[in-house]
Amino acid sequence: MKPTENIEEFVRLEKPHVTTGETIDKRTLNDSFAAMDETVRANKTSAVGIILRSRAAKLAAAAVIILAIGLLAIQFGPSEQEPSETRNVAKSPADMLSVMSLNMAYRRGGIEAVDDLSNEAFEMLGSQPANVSIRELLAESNGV
Amino acid sequence: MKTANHRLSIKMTCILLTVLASASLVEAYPPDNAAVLYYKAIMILKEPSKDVSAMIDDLRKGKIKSNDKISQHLEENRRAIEIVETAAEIPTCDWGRDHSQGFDLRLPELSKVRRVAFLLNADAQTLADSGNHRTALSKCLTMHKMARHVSDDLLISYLVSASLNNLANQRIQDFLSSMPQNLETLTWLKSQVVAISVNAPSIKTAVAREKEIAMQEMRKEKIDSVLDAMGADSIKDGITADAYEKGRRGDRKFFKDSRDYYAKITDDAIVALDLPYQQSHRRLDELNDRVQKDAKENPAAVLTALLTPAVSRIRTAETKARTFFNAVKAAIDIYIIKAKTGWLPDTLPAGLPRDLFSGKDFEYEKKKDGFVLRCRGKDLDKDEIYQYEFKVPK
Repeated sequence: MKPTENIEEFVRLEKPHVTTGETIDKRTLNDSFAAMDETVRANKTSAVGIILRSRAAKLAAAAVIILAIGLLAIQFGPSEQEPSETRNVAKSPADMLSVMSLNMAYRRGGIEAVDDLSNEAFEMLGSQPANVSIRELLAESNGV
Repeated sequence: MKTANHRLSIKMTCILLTVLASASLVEAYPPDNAAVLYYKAIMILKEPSKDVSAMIDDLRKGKIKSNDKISQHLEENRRAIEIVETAAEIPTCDWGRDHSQGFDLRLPELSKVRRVAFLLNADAQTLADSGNHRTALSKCLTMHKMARHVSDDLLISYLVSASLNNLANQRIQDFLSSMPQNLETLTWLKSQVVAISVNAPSIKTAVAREKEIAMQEMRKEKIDSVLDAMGADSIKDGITADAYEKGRRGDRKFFKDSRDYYAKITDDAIVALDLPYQQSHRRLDELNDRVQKDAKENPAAVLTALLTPAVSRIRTAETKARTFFNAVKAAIDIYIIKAKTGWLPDTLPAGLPRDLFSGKDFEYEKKKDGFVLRCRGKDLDKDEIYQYEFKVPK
């Protein structure tokens, strides 16, 4: 198999996953710059070569490439989710403890689902009242 | 002389007032409404850490025995447990629920009462492990009394109530299977169980109250909030998006027709609840099928299809809970015979509480290490026959 076919086959079957990081990005950028320098050295007289010798111009070129990739990704990327047919209203913890919410939880998963929903609501409500004795309350009030 | 008499009468009046005042203070506790004490207990209830919470769950499911961490958590909540035990003895319990709020009414107390019941359950198991069976059984009776207080004024509260009954019965079954057959304890337990069986919460009352609420909520000005509260679960099989939207945008006549349809179906369901289980379940399934079918052709049936709970399943849950309680009651009688004679009876004594799935006596099987009470009728939702095993410790 020819090298180009090899690569095509690899992409088609293996679906390579490349995770980029700062180090890899830097190395790729440096390799690109080195390749460009080599091209420029080979064509010393060309105007493009003169322009690309400047580091600022190199960065600008890289930015254009990244921008183009970004635009393409937006164009061909997944579309935004269609709005659901039912209205999904965010529920407050109090709403989660309403008769209807508890009824629906029971319909979904019985008494355990009612427990889970209630626990979730109480967790959202935050800290629970502590066991405070009258002595402690008096001590707080009197600053004793 | 007149002045001396006057002074004496003033003194007497003061003493009388002091006595009356102190007497009224003594009578102020416990209050005549159990809910006041439940709310108080909930306020001082210390939530367990995640570890301890998991242990309490495992203990309830019989996966572990009680341990030091559970005991420590119980001690930290001892005052709350005592308050709940006092509350459970009060005949009246009014939670202060404003039913005019319909399906929007908040019920934070249900979950908290279940938490307290789990605590009582852990307390009972810890006591039983240390051989204190009678006190452990009294904790189970407290759970039963709490179940009655949770009440049948709404369908969901009825179901929570039934779950507490089941929890209490599971523990009684365990304790009967592990404790010595002490005639006095068993006779006391029997009398207590008979007492708490009077005026038990009723599924019919719960369904009738649910009907009242639904009739209130099936109005143009309320339907959006009801359907929103139901969320994505409100879409049922057979209800098209078009029908669903019609439900939201209906005119006054649509809502009037919907209420009439709902009332008719629920009234039929309430009548069906009076039938023996097998017929009742069949009839409730027929009603449900009719509503689903009508909803495709008759707009007035759409809201009923959306709002009506699966009453046949609730009927099964009710039958299961009551049958379990009947099995426990029957078992207590059998243990009493064993305590009196030294032997388990060869056949089931006459007149014992029945299996409500079939309406017949339980099938009784004597075994080497105890006995089994088996239902003769199936749970029609799960296609399962239940049996309750009781051991006789040597």
